[in-house]
Amino acid sequence: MKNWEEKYLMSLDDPAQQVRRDMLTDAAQQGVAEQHARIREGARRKSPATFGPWFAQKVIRRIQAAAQSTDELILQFFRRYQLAAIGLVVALLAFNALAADKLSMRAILGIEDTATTESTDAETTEGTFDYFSDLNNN
Amino acid sequence: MEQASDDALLTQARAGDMEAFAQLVHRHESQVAAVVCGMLGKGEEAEDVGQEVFIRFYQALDRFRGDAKLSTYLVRIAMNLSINALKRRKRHQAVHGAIEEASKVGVTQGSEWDEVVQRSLRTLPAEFRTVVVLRLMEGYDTAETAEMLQLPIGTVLSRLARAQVKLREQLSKYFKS
Repeated sequence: MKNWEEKYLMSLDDPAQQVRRDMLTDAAQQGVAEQHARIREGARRKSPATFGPWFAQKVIRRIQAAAQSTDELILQFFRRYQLAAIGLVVALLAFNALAADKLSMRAILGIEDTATTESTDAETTEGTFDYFSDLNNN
Repeated sequence: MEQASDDALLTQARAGDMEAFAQLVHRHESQVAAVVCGMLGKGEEAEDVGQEVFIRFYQALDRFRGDAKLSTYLVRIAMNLSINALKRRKRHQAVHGAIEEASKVGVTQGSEWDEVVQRSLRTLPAEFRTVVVLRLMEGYDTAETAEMLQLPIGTVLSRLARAQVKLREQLSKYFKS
């Protein structure tokens, strides 16, 4: 224990020593202030802080790697369904091949020909609609 | 050669110029490192948090409107991520048994007294440590510290006073000797 601290504690037992106690209180406060100053000095940074060499490059590399991995994630997402999609296409082709009347490539791929005569026939048989003549007939 | 301003570099970085962004990182590394190393101590964890600060900043480039100074903005991110890292560390220690923090973290080079103070500083609770790092270690004034931590000035002052008392108590054996 410091000398002034001892004297201060002793002075507490003796009410007659008010002046001395005040002096010692001042000394104690000054001591505390000095201690705080020492702490502040110890805490203060003395040299420029750094994360080490090539820090900026490491950051850039991480950003680029993160962007790349996002692209890869999207690819992976679709890759997961790649097999299922191929299976579905093969199944459709097989179904077409089995269901077709004649085994041609167009039938397997499910390409249907619409005959132009069919559509014109339909128009002629059904006739045209004349609004005014229908109105008069009724 | 005249250095490009932060604003000019920001505009270039927003347009996808990585070289401009690298310049911004280089320019503000020291401030971020000071905060992160002050909070966590030097080491891999601090560097990782430092990188994360700039990655977050890169992701928020379009949202950064420049209301606050860039350095203030970065210090704020650095402080938040450091506090998160401290929480993670605490959880990890709770799971894997307490490890004396001072022995784990690196200590800044300096005199023996500086090392003792730095070590003692890292035992302070996070809310006190943030104030001490910015105000005492980095020398920001009270108003700047309050702005960075988004706290009232009165809170900064009271935390600083209490932190100093705690440090003095911890270091009392050194004062006696």
